[in-house]
Amino acid sequence: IVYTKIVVMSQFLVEPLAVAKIVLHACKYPHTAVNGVLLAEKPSPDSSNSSSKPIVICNTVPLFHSNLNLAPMLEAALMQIEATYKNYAIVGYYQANELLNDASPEGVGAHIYQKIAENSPLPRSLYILVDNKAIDRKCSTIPLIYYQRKEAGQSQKLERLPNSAVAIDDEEDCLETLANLLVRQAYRSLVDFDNHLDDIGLDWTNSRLAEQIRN
Amino acid sequence: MDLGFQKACAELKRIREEGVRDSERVVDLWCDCVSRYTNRLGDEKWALYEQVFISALDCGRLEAADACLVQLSRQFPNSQRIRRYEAMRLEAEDNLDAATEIYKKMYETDKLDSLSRKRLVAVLKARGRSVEAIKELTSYLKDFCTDFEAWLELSELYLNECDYKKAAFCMEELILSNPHHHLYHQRYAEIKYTEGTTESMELAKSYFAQAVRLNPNNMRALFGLLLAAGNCASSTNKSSTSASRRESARLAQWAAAQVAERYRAAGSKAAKFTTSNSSNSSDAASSDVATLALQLSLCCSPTAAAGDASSPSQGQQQPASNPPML
Repeated sequence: IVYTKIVVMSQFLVEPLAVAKIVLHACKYPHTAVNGVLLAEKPSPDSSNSSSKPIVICNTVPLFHSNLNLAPMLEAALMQIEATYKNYAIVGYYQANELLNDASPEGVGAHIYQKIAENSPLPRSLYILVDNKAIDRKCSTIPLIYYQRKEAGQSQKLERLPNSAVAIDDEEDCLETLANLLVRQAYRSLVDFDNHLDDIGLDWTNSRLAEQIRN
Repeated sequence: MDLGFQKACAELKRIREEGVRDSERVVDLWCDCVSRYTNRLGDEKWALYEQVFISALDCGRLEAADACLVQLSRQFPNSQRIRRYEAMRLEAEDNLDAATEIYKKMYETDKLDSLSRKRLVAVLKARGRSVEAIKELTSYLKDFCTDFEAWLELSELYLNECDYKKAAFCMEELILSNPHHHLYHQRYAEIKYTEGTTESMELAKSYFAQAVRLNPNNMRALFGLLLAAGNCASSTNKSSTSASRRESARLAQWAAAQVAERYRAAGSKAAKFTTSNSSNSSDAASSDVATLALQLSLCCSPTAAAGDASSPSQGQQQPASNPPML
């Protein structure tokens, strides 16, 4: 990670792997809403108070593409994620709405995000909403909108974060990678938790896809 | 992509028969392998044109859609079905007013035209007017009460509005007409679980159990049973007896063992066909889940035994950390 001035001043830094998996998940199911969680490294117990450094969101787990507001499979998924990613914590949530023109983060997604934010070991949590209208094959911009809850204990409303609060690591390279992935239809090999429940042989950690993206 | 004409047609046929929604693949297969050789197609030509038309609308490939529509309208002039496709073409261009006009006219001419009524619901949904969509779909179902697809859609519309009681009611209608369909039982159980009350959790447990009985390989039902039975076993509600809590704990342990068994089987299958790297991770993942499943069930038994002195053996297990419940 290159700590440029932009990165240092932002609250969150999202790595290309995370961006790619979110956009690929949305592209795999353009006709339904999709959601998933964001992962960051767990802070080591002896680290100093790092609320000034940006939180690095290094990976995501794509969860569902149907019935996003049913609880049992969500609980099962979160438990498996916590068991599998022992050195990482769930620090956020992402969602792509079903309708093209729907840019609202409210609803069941906000509820899930609040629970995640309450249980996260890190001081801040991020809600990423996919900007459906901004997804295009040319990948000229990162098609994501950011939200965060206002201070805990208050009215729990979500407030929109300015783009400066969230930096993308190596943004130009990330956009180029994303464009390549979309052309190659790499989303067809993305596995979300729904796919995994249909066939548990499928790897919801998407380790092969991650290798492809990193190269 | 050069799949060869025969193989492409075979795959398109498979997608058509299974009812899978893989629109991009359909249009790619059509454009790359089939569209140049339509003279080789037999009677399936028209079914294929229809399939490609709808898939092309789904992906926004309007030129391909128009090419198919031209062929279809030439072959079937004055057809209601083609008229509906023309309206769908307008929908794809976001010209929802014109499309609605056509559907309303079609419905007025023929009160039994269920498909244009359903398209009206789809247009309302596309406009984001879910309350009106629900109203329209409810009145449709009064006339066509055996349309399972419509009941499922209504259930989803209610879920989007977080109206769990009505969503459950729709699933009840489906279960009544198809009592052997495991997916309906499982979905009903998921809705009841989400409601979160003690009674609904007990119901969820029963319906997950029924889904598992109907299809022992339904992973969602197994996970659901494990979680629901676990919740029932650790319920502090006055109405649950220690006997029923013990019963739930037993059920949770059984479900956990089933889950663990399936992950072990999947892990060993994965090991045979993949490289060493990924098999290690899937083995590790599968053994993690197996451990987790057993831990979850174990954490139920001490609590179940807590209110009842006469079950010493279960109390000796180490209670794992409580699973995070939303």
